[in-house]
Amino acid sequence: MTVDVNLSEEEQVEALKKWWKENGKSLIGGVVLGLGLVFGWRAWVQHNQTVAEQASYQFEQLTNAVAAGANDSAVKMAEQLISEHADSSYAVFAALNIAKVKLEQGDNAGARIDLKWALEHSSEPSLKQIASLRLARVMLDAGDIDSASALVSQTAVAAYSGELAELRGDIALAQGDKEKARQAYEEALANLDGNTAILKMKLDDLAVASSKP
Amino acid sequence: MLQSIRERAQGVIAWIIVILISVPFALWGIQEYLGVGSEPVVASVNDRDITEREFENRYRDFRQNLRQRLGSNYRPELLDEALLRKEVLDSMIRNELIMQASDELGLRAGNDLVSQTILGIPSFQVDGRFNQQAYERGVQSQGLTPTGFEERVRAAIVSDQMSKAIGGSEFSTQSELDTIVKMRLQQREISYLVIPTAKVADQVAVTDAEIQAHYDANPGDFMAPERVKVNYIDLEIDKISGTLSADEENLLGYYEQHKNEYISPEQRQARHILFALDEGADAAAVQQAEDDAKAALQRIRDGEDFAAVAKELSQDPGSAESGGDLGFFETGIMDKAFDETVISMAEGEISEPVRSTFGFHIIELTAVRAAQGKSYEEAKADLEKAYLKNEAQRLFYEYAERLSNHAYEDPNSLQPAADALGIEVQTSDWITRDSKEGIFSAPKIMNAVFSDDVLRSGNNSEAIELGPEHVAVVRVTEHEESTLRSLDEVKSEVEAILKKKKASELTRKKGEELLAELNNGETLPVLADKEALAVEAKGMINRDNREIPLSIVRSAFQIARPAEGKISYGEAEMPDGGYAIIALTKVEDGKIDSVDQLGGKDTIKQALERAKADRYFQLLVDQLRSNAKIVVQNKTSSE
Repeated sequence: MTVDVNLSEEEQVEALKKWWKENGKSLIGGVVLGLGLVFGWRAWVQHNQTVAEQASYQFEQLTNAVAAGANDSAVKMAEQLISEHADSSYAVFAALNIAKVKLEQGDNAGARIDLKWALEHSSEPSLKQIASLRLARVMLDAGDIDSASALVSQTAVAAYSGELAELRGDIALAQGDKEKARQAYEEALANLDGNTAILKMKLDDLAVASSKP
Repeated sequence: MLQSIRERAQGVIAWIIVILISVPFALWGIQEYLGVGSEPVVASVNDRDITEREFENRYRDFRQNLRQRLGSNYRPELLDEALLRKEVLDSMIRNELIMQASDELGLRAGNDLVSQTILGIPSFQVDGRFNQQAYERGVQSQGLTPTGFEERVRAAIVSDQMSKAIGGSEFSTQSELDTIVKMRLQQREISYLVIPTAKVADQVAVTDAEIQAHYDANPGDFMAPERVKVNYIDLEIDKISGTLSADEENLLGYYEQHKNEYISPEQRQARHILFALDEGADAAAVQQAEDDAKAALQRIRDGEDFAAVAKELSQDPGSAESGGDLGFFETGIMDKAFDETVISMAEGEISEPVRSTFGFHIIELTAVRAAQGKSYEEAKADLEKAYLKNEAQRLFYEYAERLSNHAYEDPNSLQPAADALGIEVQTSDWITRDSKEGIFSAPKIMNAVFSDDVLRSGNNSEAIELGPEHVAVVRVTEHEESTLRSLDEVKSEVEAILKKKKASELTRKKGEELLAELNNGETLPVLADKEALAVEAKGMINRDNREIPLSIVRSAFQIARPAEGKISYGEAEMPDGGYAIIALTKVEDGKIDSVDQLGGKDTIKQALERAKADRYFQLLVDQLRSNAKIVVQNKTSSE
């Protein structure tokens, strides 16, 4: 909109009115759209925040229940959390926690379902890896060696290669393949830091007579 | 002219200029809000900075914490400052990584969770309930605002949720438990013989040429360490107090100043019945209270027990239950009117109603404890001790200040400082980095002695604080670099090394010959007979056996399991160069029934879970670390 300085006041008002007639709607539309976007975005962020905080609160209550040994209500809380916030990381946390509770109640199958759920719904590589390791351990404990073996043959997240190798050793041993178990334990020993006393015992126990004279 | 500027200032160019000028004004000071570039940074984690201030605060907290935890064992001079700083920074980076990860995972803590947590923090509680003032004070003492503190709590909750999610959900399976018991409680039946070095001693000879060769090949083993001679001034409060004495006048003055430490004033015990009045009570209420008080007094005068009446009527919640008893107190603690009454009473007397700011009291004086304490003469021995200690402390800080100044102003000699203090400069013998005598046992002193400033530039060190009332200044007077010791000096050392080495080679060779025979079907007792060695039959041993040499136990549990009815053989090197041959006849795995030997099923389960949880969490952090961009500035080592 350019205003010609030579026009009289009335003419200017006239020009203004004309301009408004032509562009007014789109201007208002633009402003409304802009404001709508800003407020909409803020409401969306706020909403997400509130939902996450709710899930967080439920998770705290769940861990309190687990710590207090109220296992039955913990299972209920976890189910509620998982169904209401399936996309949230808290659902994965809940599944991990409740798998432990179920395992301690002797419900191996239930624990496997929860760990599997955690494995499939986690996006964080470490969490995924931990869920996978635990699932394989529970499978091994139930004697489902083939499933466990299939699970640990997948590639590990780098930091966990030692843990995975140790578990592969345990599985090979359960299969009766001592040679494979020994190789896996050796690999684990090379990749693990910290306290490896138990791993060393397991490895030593598989020693074969040396062939030297 | 103004007119022409005015006219021209209408054009597009003029507007552009105005806009350009307005930009810096609009953005002036924006970095204050964005927080960029203003503060020195010690490290950054994925472009999130850890500032020097944050780091120093955390480090200070850490030191404080350490001091509280260690109590009297806290000895700052023994701490490796650089290492601690590195550890603190490392933990900050770790926290930052966890926080960023939790953020990415969409973890949040709502206000209700935050306030619940804050309400539960014990140091913000008074008498078991949350107290707003205590909270504000506590937060302030950490240099934070409540909002800042709440943000910290929020972050802590979220990080905690991460560790709860992984740590709290860790389990151990039955088969894992079985394996532990099987391994840890495994028993092995062994017998062994040791080929001692004595057996081969006559075959061991070391020539001068060999000694020379070993000496030439391993110069690093025969170095005399770098050493220095040091002059130092050691200023300790005990040494000062030894030189002090006190005369009568000093002691008297001290006694007057600290009288309350030696004399405790008279104390009186009273009980009372209170008829409480609010501050602005009207005349009717006052009258009512006074009448009540008089009625109660009458009851007591008529023979009722004071305590019983107090229990029934007294409106002082603190004392009513205990029959109105207030315990012993000194003058000046109670309300003025109350005090005056108590002072004027005799033991056992009961007062008329007394008006105080609290209301009307009926008071009974139940006991009087006379003023106690020591006169100057009686307290003299204690006085002298206290006075000297006080004086020594005062002098110590004065001297320490002077020492520090002189040592700094005159960096090339300790003499001026010594003269100023009237203390001798002490001289050390040769000192190496490993010396542990006297003040040289403190790493702080060693660091100073071998610092560039002292060792190379020849300056006095700073005044080094060795304890609360102990400082020292050192300077190096002579310095020798690390040198190779002459062959003559170390000849016997080299010879011993070579002899042991040869002997152990010979016992090993012998042992391997025997092992070969054993593997060909010979038995241990027969071989032992032939070689005139004794077989030690130990029966079943476990891993924790300490009656047998450690190297043999360790080796025994690494020998291959023998096939049914067969024997497996292994070997072990003894610390003295001897060589052991071990026969393994039986392996028995631990049984889950014996789990109590390991402290019980629950204990092992918990230990296993904790270990696993810690490891998984550590791996999670490692994983985060390896994927993060972490830059550490080399600033943390500076003071």
